[in-house]
Amino acid sequence: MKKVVVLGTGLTPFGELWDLSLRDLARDVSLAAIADSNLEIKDIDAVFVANMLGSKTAGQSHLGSLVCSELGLDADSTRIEAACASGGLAVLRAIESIQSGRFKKVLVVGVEKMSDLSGSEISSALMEAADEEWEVPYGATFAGLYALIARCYMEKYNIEEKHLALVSVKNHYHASLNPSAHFQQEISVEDVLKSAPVASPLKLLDCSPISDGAAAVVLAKDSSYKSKEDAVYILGSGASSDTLALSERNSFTSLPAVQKAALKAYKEAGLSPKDINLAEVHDCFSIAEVLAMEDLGFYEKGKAYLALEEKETYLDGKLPINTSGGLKGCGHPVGATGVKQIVEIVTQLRGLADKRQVKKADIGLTHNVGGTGATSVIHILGRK
Amino acid sequence: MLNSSSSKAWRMQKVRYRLIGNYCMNCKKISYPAKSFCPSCRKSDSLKSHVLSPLGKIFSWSLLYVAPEGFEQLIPYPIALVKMDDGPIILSQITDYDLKDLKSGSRVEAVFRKLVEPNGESIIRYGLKFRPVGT
Repeated sequence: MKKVVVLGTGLTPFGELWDLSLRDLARDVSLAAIADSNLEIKDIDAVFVANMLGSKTAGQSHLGSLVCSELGLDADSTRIEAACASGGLAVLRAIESIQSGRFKKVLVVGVEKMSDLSGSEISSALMEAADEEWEVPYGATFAGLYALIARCYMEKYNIEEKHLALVSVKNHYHASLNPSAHFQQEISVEDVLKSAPVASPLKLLDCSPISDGAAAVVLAKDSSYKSKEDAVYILGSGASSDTLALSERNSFTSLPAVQKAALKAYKEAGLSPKDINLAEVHDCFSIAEVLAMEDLGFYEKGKAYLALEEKETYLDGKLPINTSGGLKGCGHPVGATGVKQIVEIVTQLRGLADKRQVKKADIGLTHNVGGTGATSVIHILGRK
Repeated sequence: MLNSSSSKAWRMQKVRYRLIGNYCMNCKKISYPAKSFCPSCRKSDSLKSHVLSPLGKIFSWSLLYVAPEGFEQLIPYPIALVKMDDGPIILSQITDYDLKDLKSGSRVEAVFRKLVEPNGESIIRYGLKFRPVGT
């Protein structure tokens, strides 16, 4: 397989960005990624746009053309939608388009503008990622569906709400060191346990927020990279699907699509879980990070809580997870999240993560999930 | 977003109002909702229609305090994964309950209920919820 290199990255702040529209975010982040790549706009020959809710939140579809038109570009352009896994999947499709030989330099933009809708409007819009016939009519929410998973997991492995809270505490700490993060303040286990109930056993501070934001990367064939010093390569990727409805799954204490996608990515990279130095995982709810730690092969089933108690996944720990702050701390503009995960790993691998820099950052992994695990995309990045 | 199309409500009527699934003569498993293939063995020529027993038990549950549009007046309301005695797992709401009924293993039965009453003149959605039995 032809190696694909990340030429450059772009990232807007994540948060409630009242002054910026969907198209502002998409344009600004594209220009930042192209500049970081030392390219001119006209050098881009294809654009992939990851976005879930543009038609609901901005009344705007046809986002491939929107981005090109904002950039004054006449490139081949495509929108990719796979709910919260749109970003990771757009990166994968871009990689394949380069490996096929069709395109040389490809811009991937992940963007979501969420704060223009009310809470219940955005909650209903997000439910389009669930099963419209078998989940939505019964009043299910994503917090509710992940709560059903959390209760199964907690009863099976005998862990408590305070263990889940450790995920949010760590991710807020990391976010406090990331100037682009939605949340800049630390929180305590007690804050999480005392926060308002959302869907028992999950509380407000177990849940990622509604955020605006955008992330972008420029990908290219290996040979087009001039200065190799801080080059970051895609070493392996994998994606997998599962039933749209949670009730039709065989497992409620793991996400099989993640396990299958991870196997493909490890195999393509010729690596195993113990080779990974750091990971950005899809902590849409605290329980989701616990599942990720196990489904990715880092920890035995039912044992992730021990690593959380030992702070092994803090940025100075054995296996730093979500140094960006994750979805919980950095924010979760759904279409942007999978691309932001790539941006964070590239920043770490280049040694540019400042206060949150991980000491040994040679190989990093991203884990992006759509729905309750109906889509999963894994990428492994490295410096050689 | 709640789809309140009346043709859709009509189309979904049979499967949503009654527990119509499939029995697979190849792998002997019962599946719900009915699909054109067996989710266990993937065969499509081995299915016959099967009406599930309405009895089951709570497998996992959550009490919801934040609702999507149309469900706000029910807050807080419980949703659950119910393991049916016939095998399949179904997601729905628990109704006519005491808090003590909300635990894994509680016996429940399917009952016909109004699911959601949309604003304005669009169609009212009906379907199955679960209520505790034998407690």
